[in-house]
Amino acid sequence: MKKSFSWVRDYIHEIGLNDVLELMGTFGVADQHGFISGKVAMMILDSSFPKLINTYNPDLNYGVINIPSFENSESVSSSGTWWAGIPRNAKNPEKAWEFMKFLASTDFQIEYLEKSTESLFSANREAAYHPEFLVEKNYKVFLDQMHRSKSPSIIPLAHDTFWREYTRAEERIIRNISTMEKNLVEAEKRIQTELDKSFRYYDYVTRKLQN
Amino acid sequence: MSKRFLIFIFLSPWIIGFATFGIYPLMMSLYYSFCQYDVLQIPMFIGLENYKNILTKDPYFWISIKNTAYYTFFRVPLNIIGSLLLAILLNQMVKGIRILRTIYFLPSIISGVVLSVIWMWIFNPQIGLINIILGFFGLNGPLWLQDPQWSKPALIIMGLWSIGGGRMLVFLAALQNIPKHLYEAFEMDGGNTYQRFFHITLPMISPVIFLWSIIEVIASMQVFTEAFIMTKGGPLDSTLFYNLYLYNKAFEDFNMGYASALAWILLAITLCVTLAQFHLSKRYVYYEGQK
Repeated sequence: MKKSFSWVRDYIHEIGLNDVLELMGTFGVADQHGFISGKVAMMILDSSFPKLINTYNPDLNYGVINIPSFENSESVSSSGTWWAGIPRNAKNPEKAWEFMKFLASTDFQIEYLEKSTESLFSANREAAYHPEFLVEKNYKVFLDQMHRSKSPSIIPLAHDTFWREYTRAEERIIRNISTMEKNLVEAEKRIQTELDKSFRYYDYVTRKLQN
Repeated sequence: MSKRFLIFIFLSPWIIGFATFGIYPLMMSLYYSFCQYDVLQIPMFIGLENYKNILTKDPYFWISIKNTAYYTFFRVPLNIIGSLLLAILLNQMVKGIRILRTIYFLPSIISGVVLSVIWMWIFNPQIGLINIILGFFGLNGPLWLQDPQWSKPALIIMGLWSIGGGRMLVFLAALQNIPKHLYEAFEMDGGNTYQRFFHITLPMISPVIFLWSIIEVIASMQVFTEAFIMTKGGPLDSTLFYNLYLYNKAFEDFNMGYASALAWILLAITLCVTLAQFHLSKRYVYYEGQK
């Protein structure tokens, strides 16, 4: 992480921090997005973009590759997940389970993925690699990446805290405020505090429900 | 059917509504402020821990207090002075004044979200209106919303957009309510325009200034939409206002107990500031009927 932060910081400062911030200030959403509008040649984006590009700038000529990695390490990216769950006190858990199986079925997944306005990928391998779904030329890259991607949901109890602290640390490092080590240590400390609080709370809830 | 019962029947829709959507949430938020609670599960009572953590261990609480105080300190006087000056201008009996009043009022009816998007473009460092105008004078405009030094001033400038709204109308009404004989008597005594403004106009409209200072301080302490849409609290937490921080805690982290404690602290701060304003008002507010 430290290496990647250093690289981003040094690269931005090579171009000029103010120039980068000024350019970023012109970005908006939809057709004003930096990449979709064609203002930025290369960007790290998520898999929702192929459909957005098709909507807002279908003529954009672009390709997708994995995020470059250091030395001999594999390219890894984070992934978010939509998931379904059965509440502890559900009245009909068996029916809920049947419904979940229907949600995860190949036919439903293909239909759902096609109709979704987002570029989502199925955890059902058959649906994910189905030719009907793989019409978008860049989807294969995302699908292959799924084998190696890591979900930030590994810390579901403090998910937003994690992203906010990560972004804060990144911003401070890029702007050369305090040292990288200090920023990362502080971010980690705050995330850990929130995690500890969440664990204590869920222990309490679990104990109460068991009683 | 007794008269009292009838009164109660007619009042009951309001009483039920107020109890359900006013008293109950208020009391529950007070209770949750002593709990850890994520909305989906049962609350866990933790006593004063939320308050203790906010006041002693939470750097973002103090950052948000500082940002909100800065915003309030500059926004309130600028907006009140701006509205008053505009009201004075629109109080002149010139041709087409009614149309001018309508034109000046129009911007204030735009919704906060739309306004925020418009101003994001106005503050755009490369193609924004402000930097283009500054460029005509050979000045390099700042990065505005990308610069922690300029992000708060940018939002304060944006707040001036509303000087022609309801506040200006109330000032206008107050100016028109000043008895003409006071001005006539002052002119006969040889007072000039400036003296007339500071010795007649200002004292006569001081209750309205006081009213708006209270409303504006409370509104400024609750600033949210602009920061939520335009900056998300950045850059470097420079626009992390109190309500935005509270929102993050409540609806992103689902830490409703902590957010409730933040809300009660905001209430306490607002109450103290308002009481201080009432105390100060004795020095500058003139009520015609008072002895």
